[in-house]
Amino acid sequence: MKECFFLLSSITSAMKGEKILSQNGYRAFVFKDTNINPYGCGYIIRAFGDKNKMTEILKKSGIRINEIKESR
Amino acid sequence: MLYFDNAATSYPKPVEVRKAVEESFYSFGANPGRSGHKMGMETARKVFDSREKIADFFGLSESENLVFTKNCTEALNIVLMSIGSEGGHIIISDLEHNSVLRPLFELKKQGKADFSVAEVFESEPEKTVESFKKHIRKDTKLIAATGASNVFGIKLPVKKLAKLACENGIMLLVDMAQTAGTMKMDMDETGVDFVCAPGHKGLLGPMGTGILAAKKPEFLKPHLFGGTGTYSLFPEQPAGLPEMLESGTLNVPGICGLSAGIEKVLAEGEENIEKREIELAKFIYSELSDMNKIKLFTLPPETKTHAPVISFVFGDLSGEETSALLSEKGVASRGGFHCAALAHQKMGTENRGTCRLSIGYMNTPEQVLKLIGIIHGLSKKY
Repeated sequence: MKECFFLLSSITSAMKGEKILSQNGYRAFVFKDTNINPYGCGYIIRAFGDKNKMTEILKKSGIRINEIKESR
Repeated sequence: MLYFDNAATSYPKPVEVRKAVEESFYSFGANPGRSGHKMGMETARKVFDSREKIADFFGLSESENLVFTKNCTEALNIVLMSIGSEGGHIIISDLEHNSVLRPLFELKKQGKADFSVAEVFESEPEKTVESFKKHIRKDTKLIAATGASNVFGIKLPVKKLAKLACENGIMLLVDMAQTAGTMKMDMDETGVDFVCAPGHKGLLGPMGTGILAAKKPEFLKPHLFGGTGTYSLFPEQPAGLPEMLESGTLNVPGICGLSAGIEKVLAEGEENIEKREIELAKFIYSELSDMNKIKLFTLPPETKTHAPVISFVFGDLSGEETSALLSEKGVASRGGFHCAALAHQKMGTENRGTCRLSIGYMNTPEQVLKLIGIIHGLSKKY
């Protein structure tokens, strides 16, 4: 299962995204790392699953994603 | 003390609220949305959960559009100054608080926006809606209406005004200073665009809390600039709610208390609370109307048309003098003009003001009986 990092612009977006992904059956949690997320707030959703599906769910819920990174 | 000044702030606060505030100092003592350490994240989660709960309470599906403010006045200012600074016309009622009137007066003084005052007809919702309709102009952008007068308790027909606003492509702001916690609000269903409310009145939270709920956040602008925990390396205020409107450290103890207060309201149900408070108000009104030297200013309170707020005076005394007499007997009321010039002008009380009794969640029938006894005794003297 792939590990994805959704880089967001605020803690509120991150926590909302985490909740939505969890509600949709994905394992997700929020942490902060400004090295990974240089967009100011530094909050990131770490989630496991299909990147495209998770991205679609987040975007449908109005979560603005700055960047998505995948673990190699 | 017999406390009947709940329109200013509810007192006492439920024990659950006091406990939640105290607990916040131990469990949620870090700054939310700034750090990544354990307590910082736990505090951020507590704020997020509170935001979700409160957004849901007001029927706002997008919780990020629920902004924490320091009071209702700040929330009202954000909406009015954001929309009014772009020009155009705003309609308000003749029962509005100064927290609506003064920002608009300032905007008008600066030549930025114009506003009109629509007459409210007590217990006549259709006539009131017609009155607002008459003031609609081509450049009208917003109707700002209180849920109920903070002085006389007279309610405005919010749902009907929402329909009127929607039909005419106008936004609606509802000031729920006196109705949050007793009047159910579903923003998604009614089409109300902005709700402003204090956290410390009917929602039973601590002073220093308030909320702004926005269905149309794109019309809002920051009024305070600074740290948001986002885009820290950029000088521009970041766009996007709630952070854009929440610069500086949040009032976490207040938010924790407010969240507990709303849980208390939800547990009992707004309708039940309103029913209980109105029953007490009805009884007070009925007793006062039987006393010779007391002047009342409204029709008897009814759930549909009034909030549990009663204004009166003894004989020829002013509102302030009436309130002072009650204070000597251990009754907390509010005399004077209640920061509501428009309402007093409307009711012809701009010279001597009124004494306001406002019933709250913690008032009991026993307290009301004691209050009636005290007023009865005083009414014989004045």
